[in-house]
Amino acid sequence: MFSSLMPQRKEFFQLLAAHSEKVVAGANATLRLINSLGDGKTDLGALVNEVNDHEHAGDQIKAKVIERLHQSFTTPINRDQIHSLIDDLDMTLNVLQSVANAVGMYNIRQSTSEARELASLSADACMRLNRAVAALSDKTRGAETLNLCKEVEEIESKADKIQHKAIAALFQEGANLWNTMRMREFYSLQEAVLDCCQEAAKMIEEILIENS
Amino acid sequence: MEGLTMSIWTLGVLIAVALAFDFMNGFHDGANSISTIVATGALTPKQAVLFAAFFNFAALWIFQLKVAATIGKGTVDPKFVDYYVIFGALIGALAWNIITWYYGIPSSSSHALVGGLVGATVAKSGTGDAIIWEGFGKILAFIIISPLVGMLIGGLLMVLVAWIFKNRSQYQAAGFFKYAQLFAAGAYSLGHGGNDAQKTIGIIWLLMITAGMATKDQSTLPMWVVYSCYFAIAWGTYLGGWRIVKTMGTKITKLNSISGSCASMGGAITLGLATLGGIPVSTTHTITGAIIGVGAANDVKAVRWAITGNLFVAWVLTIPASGLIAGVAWWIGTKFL
Repeated sequence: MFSSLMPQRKEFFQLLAAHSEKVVAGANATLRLINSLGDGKTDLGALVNEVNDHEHAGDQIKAKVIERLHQSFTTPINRDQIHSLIDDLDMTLNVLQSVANAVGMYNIRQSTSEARELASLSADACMRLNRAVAALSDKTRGAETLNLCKEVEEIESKADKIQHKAIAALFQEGANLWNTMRMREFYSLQEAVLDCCQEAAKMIEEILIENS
Repeated sequence: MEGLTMSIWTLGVLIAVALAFDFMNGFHDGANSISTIVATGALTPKQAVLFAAFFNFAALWIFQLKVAATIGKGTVDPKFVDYYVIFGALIGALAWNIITWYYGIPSSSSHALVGGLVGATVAKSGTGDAIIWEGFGKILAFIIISPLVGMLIGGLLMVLVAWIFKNRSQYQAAGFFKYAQLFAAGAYSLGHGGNDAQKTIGIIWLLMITAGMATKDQSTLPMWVVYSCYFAIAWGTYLGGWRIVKTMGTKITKLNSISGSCASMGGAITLGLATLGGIPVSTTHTITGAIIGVGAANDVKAVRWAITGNLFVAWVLTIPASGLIAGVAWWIGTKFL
């Protein structure tokens, strides 16, 4: 009734979608980085820089969202929920950046099948998250968006199992202690990306429930 | 006119009951306008009730006695009215108010008063001819119209404010509304006093016509009647106001200073227009309509429609129920008074 006459401020949806695209780009660059480890051909530094660039771009979009929140009388969805969602998305990108930088910091020269699998799951989850965020403004796509969120959560539990398996493998008898330490840290960071995706997906679900 | 036989004592008691009704009206809902002012800290509770009481009384100097005229001579034909009828009307209205208060139905004391008056008059005359349909029909129509107009104006004001303050946060806009809400609440209190005090003035006027102490000519109505009615509602507001902490504001949808201002202003404009047009409306239902309008503009789901549903019950039931009780009270009055 009157709510359709209020200022709509659709730019919040656009900014959230733009940020989630940076998340996807960051996750894809991280995947390429991990898949290229040890091939000796790829410029790994360039890929790390690419992730850093996406993270930086994400920060700028987040700053814009926060600024707009302070300059808007109305918001299309609850103000706090916009704030939480952009926080969750930004945290995903921050952790992706930590994964990329850990390659150099821990001097990881070879990737493992588990690391590649976790990176691929991250990219998959981020892509679904991006689709869910992009559909957020369209109330008719609620069911589809909710499904995407559920899929992100399933991917996260899959990643949990892979991480457990990978860490168990590290602690086999006769393992190299240094390698065990750095890879355990690396896998945890990789898994943390999916935890952040799950947080964002749960936030989207909350928004959907409140606005259905 | 049978009223000529009315003793001064009976007249005094009936006027006292009418003023008590007026006082209770102020006591109950005169504070509707100030809950947000107190909640947002613009005024202390004591200052806020004085503020509301003052503007309820100040309506005396703003509005002509058109609403009083509609009640006093435009709803039922005064020639059918005697003091048994007024007794029945007041008892019907009071009893219905107590019943609805007990069951928590947001009924309007104004509708109860009109229902009581019509019910007792019809019981006495035994026919519907005593009803002046032009006036009574207008009152019936505005039972529906006034909340709808309140809702429309309240909602549109909220939309207007949202566009004016489009690029400011609600926190920034609240700075302006800390003062704007005082203006809106003052206006609403004026509207409340203007419309509600005049209903009692109308009843006392009718009583005095039946007692032969006044005529349909407004100049014959003693000024002490007008002053005492406005004083009763203002005094009721003062005493009842600060007992009421929550009120409509928190029950139907949560209000802050911005939406509170829009709701009060929406209610004020609607009440002002009704009072200028001489139409007795329910102030409670009008402000409820405005609050719903404001709530719907902010977020349709913020409106607690279940509570709103109770209002519809009150709309349909109040006049027949208070009329029926008034008819019975009239009959009892004729036997025992």
